[in-house]
Amino acid sequence: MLIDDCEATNYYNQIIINRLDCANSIVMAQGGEKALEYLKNTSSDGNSIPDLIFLDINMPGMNGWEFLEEYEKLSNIKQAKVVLLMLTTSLNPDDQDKASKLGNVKGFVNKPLETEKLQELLVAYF
Amino acid sequence: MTKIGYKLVLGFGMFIVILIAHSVLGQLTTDQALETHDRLTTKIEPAVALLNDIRTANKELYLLVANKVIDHKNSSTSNRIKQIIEVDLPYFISNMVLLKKSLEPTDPRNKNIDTVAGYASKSILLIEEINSLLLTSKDYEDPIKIDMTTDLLNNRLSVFSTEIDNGISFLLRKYKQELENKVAELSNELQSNSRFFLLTSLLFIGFGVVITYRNTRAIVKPINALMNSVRSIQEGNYENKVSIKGNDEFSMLGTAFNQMSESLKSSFDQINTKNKELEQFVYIASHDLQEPLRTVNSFTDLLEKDYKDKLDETAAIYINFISQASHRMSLLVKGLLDYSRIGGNKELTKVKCNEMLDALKDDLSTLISTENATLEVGILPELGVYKIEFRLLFQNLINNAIKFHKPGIPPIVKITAAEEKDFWKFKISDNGIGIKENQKDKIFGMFQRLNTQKEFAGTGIGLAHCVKIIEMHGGTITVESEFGRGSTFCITISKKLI
Repeated sequence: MLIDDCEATNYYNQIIINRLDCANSIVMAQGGEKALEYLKNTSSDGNSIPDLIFLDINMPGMNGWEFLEEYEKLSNIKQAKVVLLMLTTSLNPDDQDKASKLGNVKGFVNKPLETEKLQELLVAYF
Repeated sequence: MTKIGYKLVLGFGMFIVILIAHSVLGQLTTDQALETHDRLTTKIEPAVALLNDIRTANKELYLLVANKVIDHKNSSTSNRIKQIIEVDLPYFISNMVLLKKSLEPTDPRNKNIDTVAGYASKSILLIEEINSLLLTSKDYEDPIKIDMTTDLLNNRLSVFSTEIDNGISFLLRKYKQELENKVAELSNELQSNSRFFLLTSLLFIGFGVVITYRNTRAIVKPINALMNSVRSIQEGNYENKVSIKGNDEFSMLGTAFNQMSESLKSSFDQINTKNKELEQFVYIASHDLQEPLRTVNSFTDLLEKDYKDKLDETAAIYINFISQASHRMSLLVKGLLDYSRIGGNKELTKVKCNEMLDALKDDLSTLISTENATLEVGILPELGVYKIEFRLLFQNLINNAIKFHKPGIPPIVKITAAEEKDFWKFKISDNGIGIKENQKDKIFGMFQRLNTQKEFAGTGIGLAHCVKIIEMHGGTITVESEFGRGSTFCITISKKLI
């Protein structure tokens, strides 16, 4: 699942993932609220639970951190196996602290996503 | 010690001196009165008593002797006469010797005491002579002895007795006079002391009041001067210097204060310079960033137009993303450029807000008609403001109010103004999408957005502009909103700009 307010970023990440042909399906959500809505409706709408979430931090409306707060409240079955934060710049110490307290965040990836980087991530987490 | 310290000590010292002086004077007066009292009780009163006793004894003695000589009452009077001439009179004479010691040698009373004592002694001798002549009852029958004693009694003892009485009368007068003198002296003393008390009190109090007034002035005046300077600095006038003459603590404080304002001024100047440099930097950077962006934009356009047929659908999507991103980048850079320009124009002008909004309505006419918006403008004041920025402020707020409308519901924007004590309060309300409580603080930050580009396009710089403009006008900007119901932006503009 790709969560980013920028349509172009989601589109680009989708292309990279498709190149490795490592996903059965890719869900794109433009913003935290949309993503949360999707996850909440996984059983009723028959949406499949994502294995991996790429989450942007800096988004209008509900940003990455706020999304994570709501995400923690979801029941386990509706949560993904792995959540990775997508970064435009390196984390400042406060945010690093914040991230380490959130059990659901497994790691960080710098933008832009590249095929080699994605391959390393797949090896590391799956 | 320092000057103000001295002044304060002098002021308090004055009152302490008054207290001490009065205590000392009081003590002196009491001593004087005690001394006089002492003199009365130990010197004058015993002397008067003694003299009265002598007088009584003298009279009694004369009468007794007369009885003895003339009425022949020898047996009944002899014992008493004997007691007086052998015990009382010698005792009185020795006491008179003591009385003399209490007097100054030059005192005229000495002579009188001597006279009285002398006659008393003579009386004793004379009476002894009479006694020896009239020893038995037989002697009374002797006409010669009777004649002699009668002669002694009438011609000698009566003279002695009269002399003693006269001397005592004189002495009593003198003692009475001394008593009166002492009392008069004491009363004079008390009177002059009380006059002195009054005078010194008035003098010291007057002096104390003058010193207190001067001290208070010396303290209050420099504090006021400092106060004025602090106010002046508060208003941003760092040039103002405190001038406190002298070399006391206040003038030192004044000097320190001047140094502080000097260093504040230089810090402020530095900040100003840095700020200007920064604004210049943002201006140049954003200006120069536009150039390569324009190249990207132009060539993406060319690619889109000229190679439309030769590229596949995916390529078209890619090109579309490039075009969108570079367009957005160009908007962001332009926003930055505008932001750095705000405040460049430092001229305050009187602006009739209603006229300005009429003009603004014309400028926004396309947007208003596209969105089918209604603008309701109340009666607005005429205000001294930075014209261009002030207009931009309203343009941004009205633009937002129209832009963030609920889908399918025509936006209604109301603008009102209310006068407060120091400022005008404007309200710009809409019936739009509203803002969630937890996101109200976010909206005023640079590049902060609550919605995706798809929902509402924008750079997130408009309200940051507004904040900067409001700050220029010494005001505040706040928002009241109910999510899904609409928002009201409250701005205040200081009346004191012009």
